[in-house]
Amino acid sequence: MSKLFEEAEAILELERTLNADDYKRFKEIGRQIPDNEERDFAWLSEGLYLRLPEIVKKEGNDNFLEEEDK
Amino acid sequence: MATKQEILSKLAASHEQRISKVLFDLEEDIIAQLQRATDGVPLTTQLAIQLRPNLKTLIEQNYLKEGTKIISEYDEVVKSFMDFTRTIPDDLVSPKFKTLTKPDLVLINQLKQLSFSGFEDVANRFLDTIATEIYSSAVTGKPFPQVVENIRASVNGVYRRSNEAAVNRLVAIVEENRYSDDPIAKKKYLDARKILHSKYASDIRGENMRKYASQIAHDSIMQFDGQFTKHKGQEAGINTYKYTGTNITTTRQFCRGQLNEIKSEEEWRNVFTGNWRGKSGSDPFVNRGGYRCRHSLIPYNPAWDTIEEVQTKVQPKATNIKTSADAATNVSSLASPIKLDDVVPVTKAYLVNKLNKQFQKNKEDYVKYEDGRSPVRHRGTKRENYGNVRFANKRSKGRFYEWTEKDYGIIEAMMQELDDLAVKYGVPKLRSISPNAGSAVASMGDGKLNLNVKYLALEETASDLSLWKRGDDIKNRPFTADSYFTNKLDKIRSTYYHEFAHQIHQQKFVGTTSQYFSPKLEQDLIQLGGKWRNQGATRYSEKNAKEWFAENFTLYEMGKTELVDPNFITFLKEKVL
Repeated sequence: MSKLFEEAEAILELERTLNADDYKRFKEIGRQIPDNEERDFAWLSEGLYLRLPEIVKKEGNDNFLEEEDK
Repeated sequence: MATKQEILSKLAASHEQRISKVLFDLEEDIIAQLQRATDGVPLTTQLAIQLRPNLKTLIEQNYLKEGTKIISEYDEVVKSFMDFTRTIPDDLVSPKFKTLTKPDLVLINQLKQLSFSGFEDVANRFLDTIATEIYSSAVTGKPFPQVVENIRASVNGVYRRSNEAAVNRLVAIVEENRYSDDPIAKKKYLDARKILHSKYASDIRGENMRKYASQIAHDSIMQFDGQFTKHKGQEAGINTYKYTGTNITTTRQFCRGQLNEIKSEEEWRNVFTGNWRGKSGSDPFVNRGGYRCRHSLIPYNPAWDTIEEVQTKVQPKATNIKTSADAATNVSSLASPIKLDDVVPVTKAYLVNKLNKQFQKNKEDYVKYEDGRSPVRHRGTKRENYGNVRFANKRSKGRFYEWTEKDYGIIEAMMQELDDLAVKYGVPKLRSISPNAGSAVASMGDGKLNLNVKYLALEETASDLSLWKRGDDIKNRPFTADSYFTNKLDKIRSTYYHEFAHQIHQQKFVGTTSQYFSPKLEQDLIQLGGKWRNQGATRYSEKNAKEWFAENFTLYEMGKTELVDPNFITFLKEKVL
């Protein structure tokens, strides 16, 4: 696994409430992830989807969300 | 009014489903009984022997009780047949054909008793298998969790297709060596038989308890119908039989060729000595075109061809079947999951139309605000899309990803299995499918399944296989559960099951809108306090408690119980079921 992938995994594993910065970093990693890790990263994205409500709640808005997650 | 074939198909499907549910209840009751009996005391051989009558009672109260109810419904088959006979003018048939005679009633009872003995055979087989498992566990001092796991495998079986390759290999070894006098061959036979019994809850023909139970529920009613109608024909001196039913897109080639053919019993038996795709068994009156065939042979005189009323009972309009909400081109269930080779391509229009109708009904099963609006919890959900189905192809990194009609056939089948899971776990059935999965493989929220064609189309399915087993170094675990399956459809299925697990923690026990946003099961998962860490069979199960739940659920429901975290079984039993 690449360092980038491990960083994305670590974000998803955080027990504290995720915030907009976590989200933005995760999405940025997604754009850089190598092709051979793309499928596994798509699973991490599945996990992030379930955490979007908690981020929106924490931030009080969904302005930070990218179009595909709105 | 429905034709005999329609009633028969509906009953057969319902009986299989009910038996399937009963087996899950039975499994739980047996484990509970065992736990009570061993609370604070070790499992001894004496205790194992004492438990046998209790097991027998549980099997009688669950499985045989349902079997009795099912058999009582065979009267509907008789009724539908008699409805058909009454359409035939008196001058064209013996009065015996149109009435239920005393010998008919005797035969009906005999056939019912015969059916019940089939159910009893399976019950006895259950009892022997489970009692033997408990006894041998006592002898070898097997740890209790292992005993529980083995009993679960015995009742509901490691029956999934994912194990078929292994089971088939073992069955081939058995067949090759069972009659040999060579000591090495004999040992091979005995070893293979032992593994089939112990690991796969399977017998030497590669069958297993759950499969037997479902099969007996299906075959039993078909046998009843075949024998009863044949008897009525013979009683009235009719010795020709018509192959009746309709053609739909999935009708077997054999059935298409034989539909509306009228032949004598001997001629039909000759036809059934041949081979065709999907054939099962060799009795034309029982097996017909094959498993789940909707056609049947009825005593028939060609002189009835011109009587319109008779024809409406024999030949339902095909459109009635195609548009029926419960009719499926690709039939699949938890008890009998469809195989990839059996998936028939369907059009997008067919699938969208069918699922839209179902989802419009399903959406009523979810909680609502007092003003009738539905709550929305997850991103990308619009309440106006509840009840709707959308599929979309997509372009990504210069490549075009497209759903094929085979993929739509797979989705049709998967949705039936997810409906079974909804019933089994007591949560609402899904109410929407959307292509808005973003970068994710798929996702689930608000009863809406988001599917990404880039990862879920058959052509795009990965082909890796992991041989990791519990006890191996956790660093070598595969990333996701699909890696434990060799077959592409099972890999796809594992994703659907994973997503449905999220539906369970999102919707189970949700009775109010406030619970909708903070479901009890999700609170229970938090309360586990990291107990799940380093316990799952996949790396993805490490990400958080919800993914641990979903990954273990997938392995559990797809028969990979040996890979399931025992903590998950406990959680499932204590918090979910």
